[in-house]
Amino acid sequence: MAVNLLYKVGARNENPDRTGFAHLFEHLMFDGSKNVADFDHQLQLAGGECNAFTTNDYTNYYITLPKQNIETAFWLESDRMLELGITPEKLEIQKNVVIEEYNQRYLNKPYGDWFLMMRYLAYKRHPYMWPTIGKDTQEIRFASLDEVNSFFYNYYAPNNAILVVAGDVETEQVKALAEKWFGPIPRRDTHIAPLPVEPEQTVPQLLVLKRNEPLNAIYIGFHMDSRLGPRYHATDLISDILAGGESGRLKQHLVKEQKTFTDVNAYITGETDPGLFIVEGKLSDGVTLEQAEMCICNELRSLWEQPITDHELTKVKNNIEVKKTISEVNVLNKAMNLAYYEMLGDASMINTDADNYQKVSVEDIAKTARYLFRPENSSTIFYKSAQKSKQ
Amino acid sequence: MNKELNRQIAPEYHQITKINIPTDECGFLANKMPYHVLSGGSQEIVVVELMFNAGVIHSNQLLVASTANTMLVSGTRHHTAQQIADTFDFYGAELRTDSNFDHAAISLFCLNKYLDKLLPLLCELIEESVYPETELKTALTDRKHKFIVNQTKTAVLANNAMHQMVYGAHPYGRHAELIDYDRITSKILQDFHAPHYCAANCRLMVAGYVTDQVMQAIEATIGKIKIGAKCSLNELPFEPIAGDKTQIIRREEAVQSSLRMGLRTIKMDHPDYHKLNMLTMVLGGYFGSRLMTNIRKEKGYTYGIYSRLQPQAQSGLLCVYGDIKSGHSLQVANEVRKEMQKLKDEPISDTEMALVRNYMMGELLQIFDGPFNSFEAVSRAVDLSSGIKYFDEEQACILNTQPADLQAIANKYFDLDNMVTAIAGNE
Repeated sequence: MAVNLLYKVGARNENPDRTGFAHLFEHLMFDGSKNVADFDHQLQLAGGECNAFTTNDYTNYYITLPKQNIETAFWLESDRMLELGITPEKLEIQKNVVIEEYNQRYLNKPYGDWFLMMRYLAYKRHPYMWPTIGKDTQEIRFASLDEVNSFFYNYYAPNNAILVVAGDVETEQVKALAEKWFGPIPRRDTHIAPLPVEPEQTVPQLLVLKRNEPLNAIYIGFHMDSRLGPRYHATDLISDILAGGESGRLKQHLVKEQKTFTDVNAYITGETDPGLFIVEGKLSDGVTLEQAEMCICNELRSLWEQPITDHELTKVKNNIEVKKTISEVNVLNKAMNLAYYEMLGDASMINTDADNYQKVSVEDIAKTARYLFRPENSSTIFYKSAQKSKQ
Repeated sequence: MNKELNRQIAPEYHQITKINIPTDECGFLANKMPYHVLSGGSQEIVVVELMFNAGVIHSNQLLVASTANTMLVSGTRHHTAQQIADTFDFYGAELRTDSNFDHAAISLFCLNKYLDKLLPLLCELIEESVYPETELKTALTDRKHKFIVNQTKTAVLANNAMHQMVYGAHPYGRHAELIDYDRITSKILQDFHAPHYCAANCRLMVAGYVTDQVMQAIEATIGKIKIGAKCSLNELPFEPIAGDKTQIIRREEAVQSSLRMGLRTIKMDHPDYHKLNMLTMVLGGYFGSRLMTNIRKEKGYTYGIYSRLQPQAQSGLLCVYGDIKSGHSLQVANEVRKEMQKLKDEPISDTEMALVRNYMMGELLQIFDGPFNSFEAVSRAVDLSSGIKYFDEEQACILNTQPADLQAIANKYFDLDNMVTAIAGNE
């Protein structure tokens, strides 16, 4: 069975001088709390496993364990909501671990920093301008124990959290356990500042990076609707039409027929506030970045100039149906999805959100594409390979 | 009712003393292809996996086995690559190809209601693939590009170096170079495909909501795949490690170093395998492991360092891997050796034994939480060990193994003199 605890705090809530803090904090949550010196040890004794992730919008902790040991999860999760046991030494070590995570995930990989750059280019005011891991590794170096404590008080409050339990359990038992372990934790007087609104972009943005990567690459981001925006579902389907499965338009047209790219993809970041629609590709030899950009633009334009077929639309809707079925196979997924929809405003959206996809029409796709892929709504990054220009 | 809650005392937890390992239903299709069925779940979705004896060791030429596998979807006598992709995508199905040293698989993940539409096409891929030249050219260009990008990754460089040191001249030790991509032709793939992709070289696994109807649909399609002849393969000898046991590949621009340590060891069907697996868990298999505690928790030199067994048909590999803060890899490699030596010198405490036991029982419980969770693990046990019985043995081992047993296993198998170390990065 699964116990999922979501805190409504993510990188978007960070102080702009302490980016990466929410994620560092996620690490600290495993470093012992008031009455539990070693979280992992206690959980492993009960046969459980846990992990967590931080997004720009929220931080999610989850535990899976045998159902007869369900109370262990309540004990552990409630204790670290009550009070943490962070020492200056633990804080220093976790800073190092997080910096190595940053290196592993972003810097020690070809093209690993493109998303950092994209966020900077596309966002001027909204805190989505930095990734969850932070702008660079230096800011969290300065994080102090006081900052840790006030972040905890303000954001890790019971009135800022959503608890979901899923599996072969009795509702009454879960309610009683929740009351027993979480009930006594006092509500806190939290102050969560409203986020700045990103002004509408009016001119195309371009960034050229000369890097020691082996191939030229292009990344284009377009501002899209928020998760609850009216065009969100059509936008998601557009990404599937372009790049869903092997038969997506971009792969068929640009890789297989025109051979301008060796690899190409499209997807949405799908964040709560207005996110980005990303198109990215690695260029074939002899193709210039300007030609590559034009090929992508032609593909995007064809979405409204020659409306998509019913066959294509049915295909991407079928795909959504399968994804939903798969997401219901496992209890942890169910728990996470319920918590996520509750954060958006209503857990019962888990039952209705799929219908929003089925309602999208051919015209909606054309209209949304035309709105989304305006040149002035785009931010483009060219990676110029230093190795290529030497050849 | 309102008595003060004492949070210092852990709620009582229960040892998991018995997990019911489900049985798989086994049999043979009309064409004598063996099958295993893992039934369960409430969602009407199934996965159908065909596993062929068509991995890397079945070809003398590099890249042939993997290309023949990934390009099963590139065209048949009756359908183009685009038609194939469009059909599977239209029904929201996922088609996966995967190959390793020993085997090559193709699996179909789809809703039960579309199985009738998709199984005939799946069989067509296996029986009538033609590997069109134009598709091959595009795919090879893409793979060459990916290869070039991969050669800049420290993890890839260290991994290749480790395999080469451990396995030497054995096929498991080979890795491709750029030039190998230019040697692949459609003819070579067809010649490899014909004898290997047939019923005699294949086993089937079906998991999910498997009804009689599903099995009838499978019998009517996969059960008719031509039988062919079984390709036999001699086990090739492993030479003792010659030359350096430590390799450092310098990459000045790297911000971290990839550390890979490897030791050739027993196969998955060896009687000691379960205990060695448990010992590997103690060393670096979970968050509270010796390595994670030493290198991450106490020193902060890594985001993660792990040890695990990688079983193959002709060998086993004990591998330690992690991406390490620049300048500290040799020190970490030394710490790994120290931790292994400690497991040889001292039995683990009863507390640690209980911890690992409970953790592994919890993990086993999760594996058998529904057919999709267990699918991958069971599939591997079928190919490399005793099938689903493997997990009964595993359970018995977890429950009965004592600290002294693990110490004995450490002394028997932690052969530090033959353990190799590969580091790629700015060291």
